Amino acid sequence: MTRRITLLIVLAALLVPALAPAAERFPPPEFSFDYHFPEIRVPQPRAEVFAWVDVAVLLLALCMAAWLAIRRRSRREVAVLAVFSLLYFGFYRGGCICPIGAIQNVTLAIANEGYVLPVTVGFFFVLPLLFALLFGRVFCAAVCPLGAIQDVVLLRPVRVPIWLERGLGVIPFVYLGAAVLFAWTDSAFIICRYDPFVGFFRLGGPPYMLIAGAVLLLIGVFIGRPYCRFICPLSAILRLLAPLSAWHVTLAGDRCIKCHLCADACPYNAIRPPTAPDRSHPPGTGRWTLAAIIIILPGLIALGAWLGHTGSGLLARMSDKVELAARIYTEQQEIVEGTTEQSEAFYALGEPAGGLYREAAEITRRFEVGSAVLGGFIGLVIGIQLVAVSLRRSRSTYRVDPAACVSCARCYASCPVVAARAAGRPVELAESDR
Amino acid sequence: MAGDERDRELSRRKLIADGARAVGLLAAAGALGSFAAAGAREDMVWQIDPDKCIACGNCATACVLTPSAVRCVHDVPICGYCDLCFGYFAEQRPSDSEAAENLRCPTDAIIRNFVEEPYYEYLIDEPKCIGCGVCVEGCSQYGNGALILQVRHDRCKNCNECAIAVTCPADAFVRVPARDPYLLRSARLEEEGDLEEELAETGPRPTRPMQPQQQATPAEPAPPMRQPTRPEPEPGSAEQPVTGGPAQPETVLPADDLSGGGLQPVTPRGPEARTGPPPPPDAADEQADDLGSILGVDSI
Repeated sequence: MTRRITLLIVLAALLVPALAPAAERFPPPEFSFDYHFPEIRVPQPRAEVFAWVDVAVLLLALCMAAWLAIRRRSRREVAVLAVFSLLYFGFYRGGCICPIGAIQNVTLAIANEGYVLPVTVGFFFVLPLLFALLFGRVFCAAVCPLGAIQDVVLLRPVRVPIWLERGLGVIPFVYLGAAVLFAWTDSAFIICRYDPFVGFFRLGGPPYMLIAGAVLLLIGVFIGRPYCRFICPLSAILRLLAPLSAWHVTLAGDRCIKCHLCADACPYNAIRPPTAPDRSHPPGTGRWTLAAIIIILPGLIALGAWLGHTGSGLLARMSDKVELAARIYTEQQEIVEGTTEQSEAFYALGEPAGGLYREAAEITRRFEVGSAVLGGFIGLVIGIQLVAVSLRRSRSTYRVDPAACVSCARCYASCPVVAARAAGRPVELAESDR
Repeated sequence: MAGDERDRELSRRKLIADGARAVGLLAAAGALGSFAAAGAREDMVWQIDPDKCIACGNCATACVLTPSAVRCVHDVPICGYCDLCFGYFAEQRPSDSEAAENLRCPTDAIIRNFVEEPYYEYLIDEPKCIGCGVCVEGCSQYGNGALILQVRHDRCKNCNECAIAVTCPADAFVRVPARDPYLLRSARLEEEGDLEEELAETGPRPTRPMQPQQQATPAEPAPPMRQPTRPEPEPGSAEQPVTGGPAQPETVLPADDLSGGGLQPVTPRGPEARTGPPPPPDAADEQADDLGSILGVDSI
């Protein structure tokens, strides 16, 4: 018996060094001469004043874009400004911080008191929206580096059918809702994570990023700005604000001679043709469709909310915290065997699991509410899109749709009325040339 | 008649648009004003908390930059100036010479200089360093933890979402104020009190405990160390709690600032926090019971 105890003590003594690696740590040296530690180089980040320089450049570029697109009406000058923005905000600044990603910083700052929104990031978020209210999407035209890189590769524009344009147009709203949800729950900045072009701006990045960027640019040779039109979450906000703009790109207006040249010149389906004077539908049928859609709209929202709520567990797993908590829980309940790198790192910290569980539960709760809201929002967006399709707007001339127009100024050169005005000729001349 | 109606409709639409625009402009102006009034909110940058870092190697590969913005930094004030440095020499090596096959660093980025018997100083040749953390692992497992990985801010692009932070298994990436962008252990110790005293009294630096695989083979000795002039650690020191170092300086944001930390106040970690074995399963069971269903892991 005594021997067994002795054996145990010996074994325990043998184990001690393994459990306490600190037994082998080393005191600082005692040099016999006046030794100076080598300097630890601590290169500092960019001074904050440069962040304000970025804000100033953004403001200046927005003003320039508005002036060039609406007053100067010069495609060439807009393109030059776009290339400048691509070089400055894209390649020089590495694509960060950008107004698209700033959506998430603003959301996180509202949702989470632990995160303080840097003032300059707030300016990056608000300025493009402010300019959209005044001048339309001039930010897209020549300031956004993501727009610019797509604009310069657009060589062989192909027209996208309007039904496809409307259908895909739902995606930016879904993306926006998801980005807000993930930022709200403090789980991820998905806009930044899946930014397709930032890899080019930094001349390197994860392969999926570079491949996605290359594919989008390849598509962008034929279909103008695929990211802006069918993905970009900021475009969802700008689409809503631009129609309210005080000034906007306009063409011939009431002097329009209906030559269709501007619509041909626009690669973004942003110029709406005049509606046919003779209605193919007998009066009243559109009204019924509209009524039906409005009746099912609450159903769509409810369905979306229910689907979102059901899938909230799946979405919550996108949060590292929740994923780790679930892993630790299953390990400790011995539901799964072994450990992962993450769980080992957590054990190494020696913190109790309770705190992690509480945090994860809080995030999960946020996801439960947030996913239901997101689902309802998606239902609403789909419903509104259906309403927009079934509404008949009568137009007697070609009109620029400010929601879709990115103010690239390509159309001006094609409009005979604009050309006649610029040359100081009476507009009637253009009509007689027809 | 029809024209009148259209005009009326147009003017109504214009009125609604004008109103909405005015509201929007006011909101935007208000937001800008409040941002400007908030004033001195400083920028944040990414940094690695060396106490959380497990030197997994992701920093070398996950960064959007090639080579990575993360490099090894030698926190010299806490270095032991060992003759046979655990960060410099490989665990399994044919001999103790400085030949390449004996070294840990895959890019030969550590310079070893003789200072005086028995001390050697180690310098990082930063342009060669790729931030793989191989040396950091050696130093933190067996040594003082003087070799740490840090984000170098002359290279870092300060991505809005750091690509390495996304893949970091230890959640070691934190946002820190841009005016104090490094998390050196020596700086923290200095802030807390006399660095020398700290070193003399507690000796060890905060590091993670041994990995399970090392616990499984206690008989295997650590790589031989020539430390002729060093006093052996006192026998009792092994049972003392390994210091976690002083609590984090207050300027350091909660580590999980981006990924959930702000939801809960982070309690400062005490000195004992780091060394304990994983908490026993039943310690957290109370919360775990209802959490299992919240997390949806019951079915697994």
